[in-house]
Amino acid sequence: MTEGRALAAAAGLHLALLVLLSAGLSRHLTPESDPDMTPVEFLDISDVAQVTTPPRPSLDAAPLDPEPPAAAPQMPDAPPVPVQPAPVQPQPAAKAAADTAALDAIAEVVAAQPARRQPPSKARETATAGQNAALLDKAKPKAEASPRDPQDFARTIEEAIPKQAKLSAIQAATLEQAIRSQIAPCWNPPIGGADVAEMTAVLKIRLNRDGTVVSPPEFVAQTGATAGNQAYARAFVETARRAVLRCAPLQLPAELFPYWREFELNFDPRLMT
Amino acid sequence: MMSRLAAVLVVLLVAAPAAAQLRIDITSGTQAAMPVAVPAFPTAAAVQTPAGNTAELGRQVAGIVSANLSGTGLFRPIPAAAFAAPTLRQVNAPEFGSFRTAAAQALVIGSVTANPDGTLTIGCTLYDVFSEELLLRQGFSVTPAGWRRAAHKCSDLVYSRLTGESGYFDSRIVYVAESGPRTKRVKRLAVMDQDGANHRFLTSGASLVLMPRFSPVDETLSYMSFANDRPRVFLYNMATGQQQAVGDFDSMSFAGRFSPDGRTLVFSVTRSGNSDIHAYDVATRATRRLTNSNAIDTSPSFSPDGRRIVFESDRGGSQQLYVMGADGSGAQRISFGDGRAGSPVWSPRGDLIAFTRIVGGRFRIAVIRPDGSGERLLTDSWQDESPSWAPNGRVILFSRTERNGQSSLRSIDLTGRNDRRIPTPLEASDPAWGPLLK
Repeated sequence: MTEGRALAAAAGLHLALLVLLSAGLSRHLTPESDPDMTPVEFLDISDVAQVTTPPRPSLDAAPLDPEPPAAAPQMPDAPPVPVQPAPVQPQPAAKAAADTAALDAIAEVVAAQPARRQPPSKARETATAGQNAALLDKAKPKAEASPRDPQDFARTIEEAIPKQAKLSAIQAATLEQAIRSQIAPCWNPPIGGADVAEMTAVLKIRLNRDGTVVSPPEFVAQTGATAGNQAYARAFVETARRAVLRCAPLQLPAELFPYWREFELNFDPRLMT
Repeated sequence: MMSRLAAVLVVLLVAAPAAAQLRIDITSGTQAAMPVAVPAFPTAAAVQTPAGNTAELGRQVAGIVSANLSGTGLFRPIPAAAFAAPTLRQVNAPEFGSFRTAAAQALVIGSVTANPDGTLTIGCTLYDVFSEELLLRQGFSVTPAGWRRAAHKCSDLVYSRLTGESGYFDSRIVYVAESGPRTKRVKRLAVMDQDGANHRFLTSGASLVLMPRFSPVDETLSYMSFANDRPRVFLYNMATGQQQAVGDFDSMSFAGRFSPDGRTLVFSVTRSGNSDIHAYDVATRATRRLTNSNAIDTSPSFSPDGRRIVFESDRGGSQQLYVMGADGSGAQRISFGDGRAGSPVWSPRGDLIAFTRIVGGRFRIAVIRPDGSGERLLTDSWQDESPSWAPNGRVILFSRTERNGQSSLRSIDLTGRNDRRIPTPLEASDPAWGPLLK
């Protein structure tokens, strides 16, 4: 057997493996395993509203124009500034004051928020840029585009595999602790439910190098869900998902990225009840 | 060569998932109330209706939803100043960034529309602010007089979608309103919405009334009245105002309570110091005796499946809880421990029984499993009694008497948190939470 044939065979096998892996991945990504898919009956009321709604232009103007006088005696409500650019000088000052007041009131909670969430009224462009970036992040493919060179195949697969087969015990414990300590404060489990004692949920998390989520957490498994508690089971999974989205981006050791680029979280509130 | 290749393949297949094997248990979390944004529901056009201007209604509906959610202790509405009020068009496409900045996790928004036929359409929409998902959308058509119910129904949907438990806001409370000096107390039946709105008195106060209870299926109450100096259980039809004595006993009957299907009423009948539990068929008016002991058997309450009854009895020497079959068979004591136990009520969820635990002159609200395990005190005051479950089995309503004799209605979450006062115009006792309205 020549070396060339062996190489070709190896390349072929690599290809097959890549196909297998990506097939598995795409199966994971199909939304059918998502518990959110429980059919909910929606009565679309927007149609109803539009039947009796005046033409569009008045629709836009109506709520905005009469509002400031109505709101004036009430309280310093955040004024719909962007639509009225006319009184340029006095407005930004007033607006800034209102913003600061509002921000003061919520300073505590905002502090816990990731920095990328700028107040849009203050720095609208930054916020939009951030949102765009987030959208781009979501849209980013999970693996590099398929290279043509068999050598690249080999490299792609190699890169997907950690150099080190195992984390050291200390590294694993540190990483687990780092993830746990960041997720737990964001998780608000519905512990008053009748079936909470048996309820757990496992989500798969995929992160970018900067700790942001690649895609929304993926549902893997759940215990304690029965025919009788579907609404509760769904709400339970959603609290777990919300915890991840709320806490992202996670701050994790960069050198261990291969270990935390994808992992599973098992949400189990039994100790809390 | 092939075997080496196979070995490489095996290594690759084994090694590849190794990186994904990290699984971390999250066994703790917070129990902070969830921040929600409930901005004023915008209207297509500010129109005057019998219930008020639609723009003002939009603010009031949001206010009711906000108060309902806040009252559960599970949600924390964010002050409206923290975000820009959405326009009607934004109801279907909110600017989530603004709400994320305000740290809201969920957004409840809707609309108020005055229809040409005089009705109102109140829309109710819930979004997850972080995933930007639409969680629910529902519209309610109501008469102008019924606009508060639309706000309560919207609250129920939101509560239910976010907690996974059924709601309890579109419901009423009946209780005994008390006034006058201690020695000459006037007690009247009163009914109100769960949030204290639409309060009205049902009886004049001419005769003493006690222990009102809702039928789970229709507009009927059972209560005890001392009318004509003959203390008896009565039925009160709230739709017609008609009252009717239950059964024809030569002695006192009291502590009436309906079965879950509303067809049977159970209560106690006292003869020469001995009280036994009877069942009354509402349709045929036939009465059946369920217990037959030389003790005081009272406060019967059905399990939600209608198969069992919990009641209190002093047959073992002191006042304790017992569970028996709905036909009166196989009574088993379930409460033990210090002190006495009384006024049990089976949770509509079936998993717990609420009751009054009496130790050393103190009355406290407690829960226990139907098999007698897991007893837990929920309140820690001087005199808390007469528990009654919210329709979803999550919240317990009860009455509290202070040391100065003042009595009021309170509610507490099953977790023992969120002990709060239910506003009533007069002093209040003996409350009962009604079913969700249809």
